[in-house]
Amino acid sequence: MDPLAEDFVGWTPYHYVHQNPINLIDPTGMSATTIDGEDIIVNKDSKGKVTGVERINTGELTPNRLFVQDPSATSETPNRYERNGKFYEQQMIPSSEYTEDDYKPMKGNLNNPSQFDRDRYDYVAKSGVDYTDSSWLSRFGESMMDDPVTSEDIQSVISRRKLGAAKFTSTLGAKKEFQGGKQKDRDKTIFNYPQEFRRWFHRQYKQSGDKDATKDELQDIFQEWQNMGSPKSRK
Amino acid sequence: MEKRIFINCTKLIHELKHTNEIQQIHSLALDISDEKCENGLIEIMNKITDNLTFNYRGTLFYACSVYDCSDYFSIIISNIILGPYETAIEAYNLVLGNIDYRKISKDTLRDSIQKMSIFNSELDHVEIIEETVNFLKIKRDE
Repeated sequence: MDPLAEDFVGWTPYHYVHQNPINLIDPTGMSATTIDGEDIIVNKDSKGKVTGVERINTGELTPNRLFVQDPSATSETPNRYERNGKFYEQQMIPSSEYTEDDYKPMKGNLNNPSQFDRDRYDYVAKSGVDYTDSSWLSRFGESMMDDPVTSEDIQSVISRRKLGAAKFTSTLGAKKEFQGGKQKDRDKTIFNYPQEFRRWFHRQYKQSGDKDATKDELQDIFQEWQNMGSPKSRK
Repeated sequence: MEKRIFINCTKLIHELKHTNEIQQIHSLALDISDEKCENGLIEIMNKITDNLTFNYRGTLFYACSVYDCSDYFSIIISNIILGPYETAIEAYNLVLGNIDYRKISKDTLRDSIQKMSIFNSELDHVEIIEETVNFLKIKRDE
């Protein structure tokens, strides 16, 4: 007799984590719970064949991410992450790029997966994994070795997401250091504008009463400031 | 000299308190910041928490950058989450340089990290939220 059966009306007692082992685990057998964020790292040889898959639990509620080794990349290749002398391309979409609405159905009704869930299902299904099987974790790795998810597969998932998500790639600069797992070691982005620019922006460029600048506007203004030779504020 | 600054500050703070003109609010906040008026931060923060200034808070947060903003940590975090972009950037800069983390409890840090982890889906400034979370985690673990 399942003591929590009343909490899961509509679910067969034979299901595992609401058929959602990608996002949920059930260590006690009592009820499903969310898992920590995870970095999945796919290593390849020089011919591009997958040689192994590592999984690093971030220990935090971070979005799952996929890093696929790019054997042809060097330290000069843009948008690559370095780890142990190898270069990786980040291919999974951070869940942070979904809106809050994309997660909502999960909270209220597990029978009705959220957009995020559906994208994840599609994504994993393409790698040949039966995600309703609780042994999917190891099989996911095996299937990746046989038939790694291609960039086209990922693009098909990306294309169904909100257009704003495309901004993600523009925030990445040239080479990045990737330490694996720990957030505090992750990349620095370009938005931390120098103090002198901020002073000039607020005291000279911007008129009192002007609305806050958007990201694109601020980047354009910063570019303009640099083109002007990074002038100091006269005020 | 000190007396002049005191009189000037009293006048500026009084004017800031009683105006609802965004243009004047910006201008007065910068003047108060220039003078580093003793009670200026309270009044600037009052304006920041006023709905009237939503979408116009970037300059107000910038004006706070001469003060120790530890007492207003939660307001700063909320504004990083809510944005818009310029507001989030300036608030983030306060998190980096204007908070005395000895005054912020580990529980407050944990709550803020948790709160930001849930709301980090605002596409325009998601990177700022993520960077703030990273920074707060370092402070939490120190």
